[in-house]
Amino acid sequence: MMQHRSKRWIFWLWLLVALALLAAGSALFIGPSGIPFKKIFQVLWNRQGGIEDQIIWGIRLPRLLLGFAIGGSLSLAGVILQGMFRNPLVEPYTLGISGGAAVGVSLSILLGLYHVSILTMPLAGFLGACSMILLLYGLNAKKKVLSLQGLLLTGVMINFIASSLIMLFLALSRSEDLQGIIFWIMGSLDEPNGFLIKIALGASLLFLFVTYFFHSDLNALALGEEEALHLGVPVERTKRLLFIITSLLVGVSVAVAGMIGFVGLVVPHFMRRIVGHDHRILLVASFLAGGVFLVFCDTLARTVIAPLELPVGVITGILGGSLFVWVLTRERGGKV
Amino acid sequence: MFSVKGITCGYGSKIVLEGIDLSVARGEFFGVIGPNGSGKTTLLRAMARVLNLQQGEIFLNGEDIWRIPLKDFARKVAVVSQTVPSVPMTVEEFVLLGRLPHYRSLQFLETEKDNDAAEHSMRVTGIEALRGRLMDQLSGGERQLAAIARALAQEPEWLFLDEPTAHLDIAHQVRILDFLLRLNQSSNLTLIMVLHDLNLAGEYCRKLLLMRQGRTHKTGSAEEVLDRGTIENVYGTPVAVGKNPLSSRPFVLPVPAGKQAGRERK
Amino acid sequence: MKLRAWLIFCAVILACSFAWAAEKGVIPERIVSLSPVITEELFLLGAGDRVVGRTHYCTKPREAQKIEEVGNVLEVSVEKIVALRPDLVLAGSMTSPKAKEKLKRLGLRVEEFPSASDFNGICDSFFKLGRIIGKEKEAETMVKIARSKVDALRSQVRDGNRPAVFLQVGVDPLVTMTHGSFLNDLIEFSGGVNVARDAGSRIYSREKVIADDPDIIIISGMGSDGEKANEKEKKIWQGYRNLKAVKNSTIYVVDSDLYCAPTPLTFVNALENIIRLLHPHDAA
Repeated sequence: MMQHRSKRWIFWLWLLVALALLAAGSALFIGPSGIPFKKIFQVLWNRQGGIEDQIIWGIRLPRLLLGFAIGGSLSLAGVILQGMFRNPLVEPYTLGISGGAAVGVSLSILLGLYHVSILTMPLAGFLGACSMILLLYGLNAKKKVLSLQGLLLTGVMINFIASSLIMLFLALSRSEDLQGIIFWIMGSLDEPNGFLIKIALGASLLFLFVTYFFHSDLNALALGEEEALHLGVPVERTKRLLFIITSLLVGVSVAVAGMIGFVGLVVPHFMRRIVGHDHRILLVASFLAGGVFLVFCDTLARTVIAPLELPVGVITGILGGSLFVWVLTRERGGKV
Repeated sequence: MFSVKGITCGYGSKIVLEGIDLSVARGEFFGVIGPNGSGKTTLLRAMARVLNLQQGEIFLNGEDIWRIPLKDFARKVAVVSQTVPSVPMTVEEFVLLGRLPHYRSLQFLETEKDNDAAEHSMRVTGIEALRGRLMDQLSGGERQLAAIARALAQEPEWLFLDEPTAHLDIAHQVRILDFLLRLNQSSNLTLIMVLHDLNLAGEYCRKLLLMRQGRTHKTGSAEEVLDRGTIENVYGTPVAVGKNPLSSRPFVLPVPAGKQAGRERK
Repeated sequence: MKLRAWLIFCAVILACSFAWAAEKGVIPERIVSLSPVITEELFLLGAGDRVVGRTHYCTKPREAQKIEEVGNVLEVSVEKIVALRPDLVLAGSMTSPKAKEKLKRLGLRVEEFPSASDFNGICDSFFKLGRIIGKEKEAETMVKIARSKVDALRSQVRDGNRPAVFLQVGVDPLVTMTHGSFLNDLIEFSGGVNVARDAGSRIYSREKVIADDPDIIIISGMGSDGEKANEKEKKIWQGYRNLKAVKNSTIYVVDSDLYCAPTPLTFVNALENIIRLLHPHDAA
């Protein structure tokens, strides 16, 4: 039975890698400037300089990499959270960290700090996210025990407050700033700064690696905190560390790419059904699937109403949301 | 040897146990009984290193259990809780989780030893045939057996059980307790069990602890503890105590209101 | 001998200066404009044939509509722009900063034109554009004409009465222009007084307008359902019977295109238009 299981896992991994290549292909080969396939291959093989080179290497490739990084990060965060909270409806934005990032970014735009350096916006977002993490932790960790219920409730409340604050900033801002804030909130993968893309990619891979140290803890936590304690899992320490990892994953993602919802909710949920609950496969499977999903949605966003681009969050929301509802209703119908 | 010395603990500001002293030797089949709310489960949780103590200490083989690394403790002590989590994982996966305390630090997949231990415990509890079924699709009794299997896969020296027979019919109750008794006698597995059913406690446990309102009321053999006066005192209801003709163990029967002829009425 | 050396020397110097001039003042041949005003101005300056990319909203003049689209005013496709191989990209005040940054990083020349805060700003902007595309003389001429026309119009109304004006550019929410905008100049040049001149924010409250009780209300809503929304707004104002503007029937709906982001020449047209509204009894 267990050998079958390992075989199954390897099968899923190969499938996901194949899908990832497919998604990468679609992102590199499809675009509004209509470069012929042969040319794209040539440019990928050796860099020759020229317009096609610029487009493929300078525009499409960075976007593709960021898509994998953000999609992977958000899905990973979703898996961890759903595992910790034992609640399949928890997603990275529920905790209010994204609200903090949004407030940070809006504030920096409002105060005109954007003109200081192109890095101020993501930095402000990240700082906003970090402040939220500290606030959440401070409010919910009493006597060394981190209350998960409390985190959830506080997180939802903070999101509400953050939305209202952002409305306030929108009302106070000038028209140029207004669109800056709104577009940041809608999320997009076209980050011009290569440094930030590298950070996002590096962070996502690093945290994936780190999270694997907790694979057995996460499996045990599925039984409940007390049962996990019985199995020798240091529950409090694990919760703390996982909370920090998730927050950083979300903080970096939101700071660099804005709010892209649904990925962290839908992808882990689906992967759970497909590859099972064992975190040994679920972590990497969700990571890969999240990247594939986001890159695929981004390609759609770029081409559906070319040359205009839809914000990628719109596609993830519609596609992800509809898929979610469809699967749920099918399941409900089958169960009677 | 598990020694509980003068412990006081509870939940928040509510104190449930006060000044409890207790020792359980290796190889015992120890039962904890008492009315609802007397603190049985709390005592078990305190001994399982899950509940913080406000006062007192608990020692396992001379070591303060809170000083023993959590994983080492889990290798010695396994717990079967009252409610078994209903999760969408297979029985086999569930039982294998019991091997977690034995995982080496960077171990990723189960070793052969892990698989063997899980196999063995599933066979011994008779749930081999259920291995591929999902936990949340089993009956209450089957889940209970799976929980025991998981605890056994932990290869513990001490097994704590909180109402292991709560959802089982009489046949299953006997079957499980017979099996636990065999385990206790053959492999020196020490059992500490919280039981509601006084008769099962009397039949199987060699030593009993009767609790009352957060304190130990009486400790001793089944015959000593299951004495009519003691039981009526602690439970506050008339009972009849007799001896099981086949096993010579005490049993306790409730006496309904109309049948209390010949006794002093309040 | 000496003469030949001298000639060669001059030739070399001349060649070098041409090269230097050519490098410094390369005349852009393929221009992408990301702002409707700039597109209009490019055609005004006679460089319309050099424009290879525009936004969806660059619809004036008619010839511009044949040019390839690269997005709308707020969001543009960087890839599309790069594929057009421009040697100059002109960004307006609303162009996404990320897009500007990306284009710069890809090595394209990007010139930014923030929104003008007064008539002088409009002229300076126009002049800057002319300089960049090598149409300095044309720009200078047009600016001179515009300025003189504006001066003439201003002197016409100098000794007239000074009505209080409320100029509304947004219908829902109610948005006006304070002193940081050229529309303020429009009002003041025409002899009016902008009641919202020193307001703290451009979002104005209807109550405040009623309290200000301006002599004239001009509605120039720039929303997508333009006409209808503006007419509706007029009816709403007319509901407040006690306003001077209602009693004197001095609420006007104007063509918002005219008042939007103007070139120096359209500024003159707008000024003429608003003068006629403010001083209907004076012969133009």
